[in-house]
Amino acid sequence: MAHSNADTGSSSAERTLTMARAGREAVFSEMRRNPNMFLIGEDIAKLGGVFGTAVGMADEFGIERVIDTPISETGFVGIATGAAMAGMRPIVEIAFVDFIGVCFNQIFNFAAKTHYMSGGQYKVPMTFMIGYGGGYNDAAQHSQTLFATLAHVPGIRIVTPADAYDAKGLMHTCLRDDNVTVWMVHKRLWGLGWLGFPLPKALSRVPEADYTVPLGQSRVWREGTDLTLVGLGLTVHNSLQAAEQLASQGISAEVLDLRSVVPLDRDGIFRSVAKTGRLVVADEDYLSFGVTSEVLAVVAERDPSVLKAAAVRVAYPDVPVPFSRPMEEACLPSVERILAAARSVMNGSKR
Amino acid sequence: MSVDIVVPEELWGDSLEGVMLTWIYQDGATVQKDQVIGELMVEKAQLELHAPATGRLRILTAPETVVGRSHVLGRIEPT
Repeated sequence: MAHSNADTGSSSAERTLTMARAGREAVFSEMRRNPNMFLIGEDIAKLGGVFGTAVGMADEFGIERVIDTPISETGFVGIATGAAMAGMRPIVEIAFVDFIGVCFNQIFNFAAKTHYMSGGQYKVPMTFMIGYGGGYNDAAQHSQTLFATLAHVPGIRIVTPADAYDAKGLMHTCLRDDNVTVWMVHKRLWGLGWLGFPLPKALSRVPEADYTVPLGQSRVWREGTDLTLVGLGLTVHNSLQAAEQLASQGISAEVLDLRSVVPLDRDGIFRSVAKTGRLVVADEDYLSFGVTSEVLAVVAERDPSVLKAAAVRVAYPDVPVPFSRPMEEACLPSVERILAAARSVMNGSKR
Repeated sequence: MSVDIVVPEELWGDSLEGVMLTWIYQDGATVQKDQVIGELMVEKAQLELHAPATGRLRILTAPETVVGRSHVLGRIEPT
């Protein structure tokens, strides 16, 4: 039973939060605990972030800890990297992952490698907070996903929550980690009305107290026996919808959410595929050299004989994101494409 | 006496309508005055709904419903 707690102004009633609100709650909490933590990026102090990531933070922490920068990712990622080496704990806000292109040298050669290059003398405890994904008619430079681009370079940890509970828990984990961490969220999952109504399953019960979600641990959203649908971020939700339709046709699909790209839960992937014998992987990043390839490699390297049929990847075709709405829609890893892949895997046999 | 939950006049700006997005607490939950209990979108701005009183939340407007300026979104009933 809910009971009132007038002294603290809080309620013991359970809360259902959007991912935006849950992620922000973790940042507020860690900023309060840690005076060395600060937030830096474009339009965060005055506007509160293009996607509302920093709403209210400048009011509470002041503009010295919530720093609005010019449009210069190279500059402020460099500032944050240096500050992290000097003992601060910066959070870098980049609204669109597409923009990291201009700061590859800072990220790949300094942030990711200084701990190693200095023989462990310098830690680089910084967290990137990045939005990604398409479906908004935003064309090729504001719609990408780019997990693999970041994941390919050793030294960078990458997570992408699919609901509010994980958004908060993974944010706490990232902000407490002493390495470079990248917390990435698909725009469609945020729960901002102008990016689409909150998906029901992205909203979840979120405790008020701090908690962490471990890196490298996948999550089974739905158990199944006939095939495994692997997804991450938005493709978890598309896979869940596909699994529901498959169930009505008597096919039992397991839905596995990777949650972390790096470290990747290879044991969890193999465990599920060994159980079901069939695999479809859905990802909004480009097809070639991406997360989908890495998931298939896990099975190929450990024991491909567990597969009853050839595995299928549902990813972004290797083309720039089209501006045209129907062309973009055709490229996205939709429920329909996942269903078609699942059916072909169910009909297929081992060659 | 129950208290209506409406969007404060000053938050509307020039807009005539908005859309209910989410309720943070379930129907029947006990909430405290001034707590954030839901979110609403007007134009591209996300607005927070605060509880106008302490009491039991009664939800009258489902998410994704388009609402006008004087729409009663819900009520706070005495516990």
